[in-house]
Amino acid sequence: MRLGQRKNQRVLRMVGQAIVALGFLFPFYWAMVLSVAPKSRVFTLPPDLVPGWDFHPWERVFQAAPWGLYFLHSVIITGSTILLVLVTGATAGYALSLPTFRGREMVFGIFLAALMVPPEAILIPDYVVAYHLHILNTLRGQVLPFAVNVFAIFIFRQFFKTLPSELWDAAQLDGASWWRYLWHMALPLSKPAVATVSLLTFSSQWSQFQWPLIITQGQAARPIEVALSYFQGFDGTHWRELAAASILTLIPIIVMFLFTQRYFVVSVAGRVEDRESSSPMTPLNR
Amino acid sequence: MKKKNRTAWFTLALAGGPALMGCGTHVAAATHNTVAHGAGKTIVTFWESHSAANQQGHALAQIVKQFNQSHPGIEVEVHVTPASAKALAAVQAGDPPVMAMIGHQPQYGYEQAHALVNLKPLIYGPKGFPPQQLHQIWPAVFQAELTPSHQQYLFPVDIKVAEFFYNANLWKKAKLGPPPTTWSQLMSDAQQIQRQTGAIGLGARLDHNDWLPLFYANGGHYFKPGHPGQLDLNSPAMAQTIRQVTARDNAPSVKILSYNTSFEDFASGKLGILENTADGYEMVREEVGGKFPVGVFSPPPGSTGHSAYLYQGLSFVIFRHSSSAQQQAAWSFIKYFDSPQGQAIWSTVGGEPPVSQADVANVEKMAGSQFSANPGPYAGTAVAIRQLESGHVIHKIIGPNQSEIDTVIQNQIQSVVQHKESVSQALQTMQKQATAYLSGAAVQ
Amino acid sequence: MQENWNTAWDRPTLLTPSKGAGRALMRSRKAVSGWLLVLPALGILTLFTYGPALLVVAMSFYHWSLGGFQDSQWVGALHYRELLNPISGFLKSLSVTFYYVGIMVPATVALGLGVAWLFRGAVHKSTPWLTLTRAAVFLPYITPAIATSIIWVFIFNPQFGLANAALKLFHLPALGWLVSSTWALPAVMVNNLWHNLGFTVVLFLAGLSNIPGEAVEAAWLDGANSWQTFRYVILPYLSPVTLMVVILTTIQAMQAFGSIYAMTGGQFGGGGGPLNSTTTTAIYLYKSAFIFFHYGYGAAVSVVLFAVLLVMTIVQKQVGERYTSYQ
Repeated sequence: MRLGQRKNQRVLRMVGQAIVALGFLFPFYWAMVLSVAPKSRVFTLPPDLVPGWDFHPWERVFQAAPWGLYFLHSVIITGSTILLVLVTGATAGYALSLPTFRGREMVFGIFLAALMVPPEAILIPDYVVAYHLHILNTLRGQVLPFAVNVFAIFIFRQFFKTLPSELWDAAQLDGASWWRYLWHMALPLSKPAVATVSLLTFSSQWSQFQWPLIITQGQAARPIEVALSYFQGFDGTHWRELAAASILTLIPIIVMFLFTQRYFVVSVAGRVEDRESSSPMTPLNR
Repeated sequence: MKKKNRTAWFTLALAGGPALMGCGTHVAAATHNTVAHGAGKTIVTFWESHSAANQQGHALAQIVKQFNQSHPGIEVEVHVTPASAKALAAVQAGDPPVMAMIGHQPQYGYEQAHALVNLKPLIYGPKGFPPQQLHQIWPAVFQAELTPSHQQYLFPVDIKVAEFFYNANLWKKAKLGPPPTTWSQLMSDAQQIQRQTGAIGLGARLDHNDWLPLFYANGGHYFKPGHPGQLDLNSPAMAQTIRQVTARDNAPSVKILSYNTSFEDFASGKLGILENTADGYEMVREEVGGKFPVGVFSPPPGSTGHSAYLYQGLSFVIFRHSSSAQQQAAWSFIKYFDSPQGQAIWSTVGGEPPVSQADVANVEKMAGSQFSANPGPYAGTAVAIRQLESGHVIHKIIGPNQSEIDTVIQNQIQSVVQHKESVSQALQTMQKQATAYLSGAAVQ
Repeated sequence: MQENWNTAWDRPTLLTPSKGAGRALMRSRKAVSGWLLVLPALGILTLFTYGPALLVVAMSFYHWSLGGFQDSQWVGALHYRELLNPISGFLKSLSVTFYYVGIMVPATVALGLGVAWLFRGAVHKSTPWLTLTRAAVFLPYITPAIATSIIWVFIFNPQFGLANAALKLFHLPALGWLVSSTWALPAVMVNNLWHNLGFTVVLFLAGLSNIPGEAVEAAWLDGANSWQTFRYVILPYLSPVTLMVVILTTIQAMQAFGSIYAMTGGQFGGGGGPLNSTTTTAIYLYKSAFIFFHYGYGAAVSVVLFAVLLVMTIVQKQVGERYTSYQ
């Protein structure tokens, strides 16, 4: 009796979970249906939810804009940002984990202060800085302001601190310098930190919108999200094409997510877990 | 990670970051906004905002292709970009295109930034337009291109005037006669469509292109006559306009539609009449896809007895930033665009009225017997031409903080429509707030 | 500029210096290398974060021209006076922002907790079914806001959208949604709740899995019913996570841009909805500086936004800590 009740409850919960999950996926599904809907079936009441497999909208989308170029821009911007965030994060994080680094706590405080500044509030002066550096309307201009991420520094610092000190002692006995230790011993052990930082940078940078919207003008450095927004402006009346274009820009990130979703979720969840005693990245070690 | 692998990765990280960005710069350089020459050709980057998937985009691409073929020394490169908004930022960043198609109001900001080439020497110079040809350009349109100080930075290209489209099937079902010629007739037609067919009667717009012509047709003035620089919004004409909009928008047979969604609403056959502009005709017909014929009529007259047809198109501009060779090349493209062959494509493929009266005959010839059929493939163009011929063409106001002022007026009208304010309150507030913006007291 | 990863790394626990033993050996050399190592990061942060944070204050007192100080005109507190003038619309934008934040924060906490409760179970040790369904909830969070907001524009289409079709199903009147000054902002809220809830759910899931099973069992043994257990055992354990969610959601909501831009007409001149009903301070700031090109005025808006966010975060922390129990 009791067992049956429990089983019922479990089934009920699974049904609830399925409903919520499908609810969250539904907008994607509808966009997909719209993007392949035959013309006669777009504006119907009630809305038609069965795909019609008409690929004309997709053809028109591909003709309408050089998506490949914009996609390439986004890839270059995201790729370079990840590399730079890793380099600046690992070096600064390493320095902050060194017990012998005298200014450590002061620098730590300075980095912490950067988190107090909301990006929205410095949008305008950043534009002024970018203007004077002559990086408006360039890909560089979309990378440099994001080349340092304080979270990345803290993640690396936290990780390096968990490495056993014997490692460092052994390295010193071998006469290794700090950078040899960092490149050859510390970093190879911090794959989880590298993975977390890469994923978080990837998702935030690929979705970047307001900054590129402001600093790009022509198509010379236009990333895909801005291109999509313009397409919405020019072609807002064509639902099927617009839905197709949205999906086009969603595909890379969804594919990426499918392969890495476990790490994504854990990267975010890691924040809540006990942060001092164990590494926040422990889950990634599995 | 194997050791060699690792070294490779970090070298890549260190060298790759900047190198990738550098590679980006190369990509950028290849399409940089004002690269002067490529393969011995003068490159003219041209920002324009018609989607390549639209009829106007098709027409433009066709004209550009023909131009590039017939002018071996010049390469016009079209970049689809929201030029009106973005080119000014590009000017400030020191990186504008060679030419663009922008709206009239943004012109003020460009003029302030000294960004545009004064077209007068080109228009009246040896490679310009002979006077008889120039006089053929719609006078009201040509007038609208001049600044208050009679400089000319704009050259007309994309002429939009307001039009109403109607679903001829619903029209027949509702047993309606010829298209309305007064506002009260329009409103009763909309009501009858709803009563007889269940469709929405009229889909109206919610922006300043809607109230400005009504205001003028009711005898309103933006500035007090004889007092330039002094707004005249708290006037009987504006009061009448507000009442008119309020009555219209609150009628059960009328629905406010966003420009974006109105096309689908109309194409679905659930909407009787759609407020739009001449260049929307092709788009609407495309969207409708032959499900029903689409008729066109002009906005009815106001209390002055005539209509005010708002010219709200886009114009060519050339940027001073470019080389003189590029400026000359851009000018020859403008001339080509406004030549009979360019205009014939623009009007028949793009569905826009021609720039010059002289081209009307040519367009008619190309359109053939179908030209004056309404509903018909060229009805949008034909009705627009009649409006332009009437001489009752007005244009947008150009000046400092104009977008802000338009927003103020728009918001006040909407407050009355939504019963948040009385008409007299709205009149006072709009006069006060708009004056504050005009004088620069609000926002510098 | 610091892209917010919405992590909780600014927690005070991080301030504790590590207790590793100092090494006299090579100390001086390493002190130098320490500075060398943080130099790239500090340099870029100075250029794009610290410097701009000071510059924005200075700019707000100028009629700013891109050329720099020498081309700009000192106007004193003019912009700040203008902010207080109701005509400018800034105060309205603040009230829109507070309305938005005031709904989004409690809704995110309540729904986030509810959904997390439905999907409870260890974060790392989960069945394929749980992994799959949780991933579905989390997926919107990593998608770019423009692409998904376009889909929500379809959903909220007054004629053929799913939202009105759903209302019709329940015999409710159709709404104008994005063309209505009353319903445009709620429509944006629905989109953003859908988009960001996965993040909150993951945080709450982690919080839930940290609750020791013994505590719950003890409560059961004491005869507590499920509500009492939830109220007196589970909620206190979740209070640190909840505070974190409140602070992060507030920061996120105060700066929401892409979704509002894409849903309420940004591509036609900056956005902000009918009658400025979705013109939050973030949208207002963008339009001031990058549509109307009033950089100095926009800087003044930024400074106020900065201050409001700071005060809100501090108040939330102060008030929150009082009701938070760290076990």
